[in-house]
Amino acid sequence: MFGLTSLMLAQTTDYNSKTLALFNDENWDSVIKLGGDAIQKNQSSFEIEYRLAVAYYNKKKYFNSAKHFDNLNKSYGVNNEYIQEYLYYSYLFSGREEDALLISKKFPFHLQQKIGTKNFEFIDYLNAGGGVKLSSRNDIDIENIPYFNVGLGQKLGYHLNLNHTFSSLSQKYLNFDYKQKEYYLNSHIQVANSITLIPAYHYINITENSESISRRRRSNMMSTRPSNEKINLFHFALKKQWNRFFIMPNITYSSANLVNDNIEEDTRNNMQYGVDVGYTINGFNDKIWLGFGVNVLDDNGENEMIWNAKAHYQINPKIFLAIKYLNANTSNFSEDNVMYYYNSVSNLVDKISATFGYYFTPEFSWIINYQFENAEDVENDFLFNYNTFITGLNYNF
Amino acid sequence: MKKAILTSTFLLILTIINAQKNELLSAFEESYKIEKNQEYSNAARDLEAIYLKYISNYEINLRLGWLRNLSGDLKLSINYYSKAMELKPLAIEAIYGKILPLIGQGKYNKVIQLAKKALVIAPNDSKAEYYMGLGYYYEKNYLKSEKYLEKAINKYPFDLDINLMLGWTKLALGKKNEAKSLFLVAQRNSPDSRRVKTAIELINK
Repeated sequence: MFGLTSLMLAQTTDYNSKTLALFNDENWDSVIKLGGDAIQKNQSSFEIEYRLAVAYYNKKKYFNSAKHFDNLNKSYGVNNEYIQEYLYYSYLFSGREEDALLISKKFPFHLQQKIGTKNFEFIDYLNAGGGVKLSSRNDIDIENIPYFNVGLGQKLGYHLNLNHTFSSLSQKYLNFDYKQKEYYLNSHIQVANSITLIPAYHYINITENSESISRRRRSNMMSTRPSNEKINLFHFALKKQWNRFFIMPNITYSSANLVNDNIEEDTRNNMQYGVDVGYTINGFNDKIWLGFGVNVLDDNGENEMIWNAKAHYQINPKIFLAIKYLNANTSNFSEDNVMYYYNSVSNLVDKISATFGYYFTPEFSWIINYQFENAEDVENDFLFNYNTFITGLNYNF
Repeated sequence: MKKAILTSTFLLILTIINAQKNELLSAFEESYKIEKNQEYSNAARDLEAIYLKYISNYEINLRLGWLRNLSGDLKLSINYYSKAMELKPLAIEAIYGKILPLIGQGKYNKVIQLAKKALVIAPNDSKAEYYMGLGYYYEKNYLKSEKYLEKAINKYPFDLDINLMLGWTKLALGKKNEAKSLFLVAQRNSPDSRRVKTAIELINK
C-alpha cells in the first residue's frame, strides 16, 4: 500500500515538474499533452491546470483556455487578476462577447481601464444593407424584389444589448402589388455566465395598391379590395452555452391581421417552436462552427417542420464565410430569432445561402450575401426560383 | 545499574529530540530548495508528510501557508495560516500571510477585517494600512481606500505597490494629475515593471 502511494506521489511530482519545465520553455504543445494526461489520470493540480490553460491560450485555442481558466476559479476558488484577464480574452476571442462583458463587471478599476470595457454605448454599432431578389419568372409578373435595411445596436449595461432594424421591400407578384415595411427589435439579456435570454419582437406592415387582389393562403383572408396586413411576432429564446456547444430552445407567436378600410377583417395566429444547436469543431484551430435547427410551425392545427443546417468558417481574422441551407416547404414562418419572417404568398421550398464577410478594420466590416431560393406558387401549382444578392456595411463604435 | 539505565534513557530521549529536530530542519531545507525551482506543491509535500507530528509548530504552519498560497491551494493555505494565528495570536506576519490567499480568492471584505485586526496589534503599521487601502479599493470604496493609502505612503513615499494602488484609487476618484504623479514615482522605482508600464500608458491616453 505504501509502495503504491509512493509511486502515485512520484507520478504526480513528475507531471508538476515536467509541465513547469515545458511551460518555462514555452513548449505549449507538450504542456497541453502532458497537462491533459494529468487531468485524465486525475492527477492535476492548480499549477498544472493553470499551465494548461495558458498553453491553450497561447495556441489560440480559446474555447479550451476558457474552460480551464473557468475551472481554476470554480474548482480551486482562485480568482486573481491574471485569471480574470485571461478568461475575459478567452471568452472574447471565442465569440462569447456577452460572457466577457459580464465577468468584467467584477473586475477591479485598473483592470477595467486596461482592457477598456465599455458597458454602455447608446450607439454600439450601425449597419446598412440592400440588395435585390431576382425572380426567374419576370415573364409572368413575378417581379424582382428590391430590399433595403438599416440597423442600430445598443449596449445598455453589462446585461443588456438591443438591436433595432428597419427594413423595406416591395414587389409585384402576379396580380397583386405590395410594399412591406418592418421593424425588428432583438434583445440579449445575459442573466448569468453562459445563459442568455433572447426576447424579440418583429412588426411587419404590408400595404397593397388599389389594383391588387389579396391572396392570403391558408386563411379566409380573401379580398378584392386594396387591403393592409399587420403582422406582430413575439419571440422568446433561451441560450445555454457549454464550452463549444450551445443549445437554444425557442418559441414564437405570430398574429396577422388583415385590415380593409381600417376595419380588422380577419386574424391568423400561429405558433412556432423549435431548437437550435451549435458546435465549434475542436480542430481546424476552432475556425469552423456548425449549427443545426429544427422548428415546428403550428398553423391552425396543421404542423409543418422546418429545418436548417449551417456552417461558419473564419478563414482568417479578417475574412469569414458562412453557408446555410434551409428547408421549409411552407410560408408564414420565422428564423434567426424572428429576424426574418417568410410571409410570402408563395411557399419557400428550400434555400441555400452564402455570406462572405471582410473586416477592413476591427470596427468596419463589409458583407456580401448570395441566396438561391426554390419557391412554389401553391394556388397556380408551379415552381420558380429567386437569386438574391445583398450587400451591407457595419461600423462598430 | 540504576544509574546506567537512567543515563541510557536520557540519551535515548536526547537522540529522539535531536532526530525530530533534524527531521523538521531537513524538511524545511528541502522545501526551500524545491521552492527555488517554482515547484510549490512539491515544496509543500515534504513538510506535509510530517505535519501531523508538528501540528502545534508555528513555523511549519506559516511555511505551509506560504507554499500552499503559491501552489494555488488557497483553502489549505488559509487553514495553515489560521492555525499559525491561533498558535501566536499577536503575530501580524501570520495575519499578513492569511491575507494573501484571501486576495487570491477575491474575498476583500475578509482582507479588510484582517487588516483591521493587524492595526489593533500594530497601530499605524504601514502594511496594515496598505491592505486596508487595497481591500477598500477592490470593494470600490475609493474614498476609504485613499484615506488608508495616504497614511501608508507618508511612511513609504517610494514604495512601488503603495504608489500604484494609490494612483489607481486617485484615478478612480477622477484625480488624474495626482494619479499621474504617483505613477511617475512608481516608474522611477521600477522602470521595467509591466504593471507600471500599463499604468503610464493608460494615464497618458
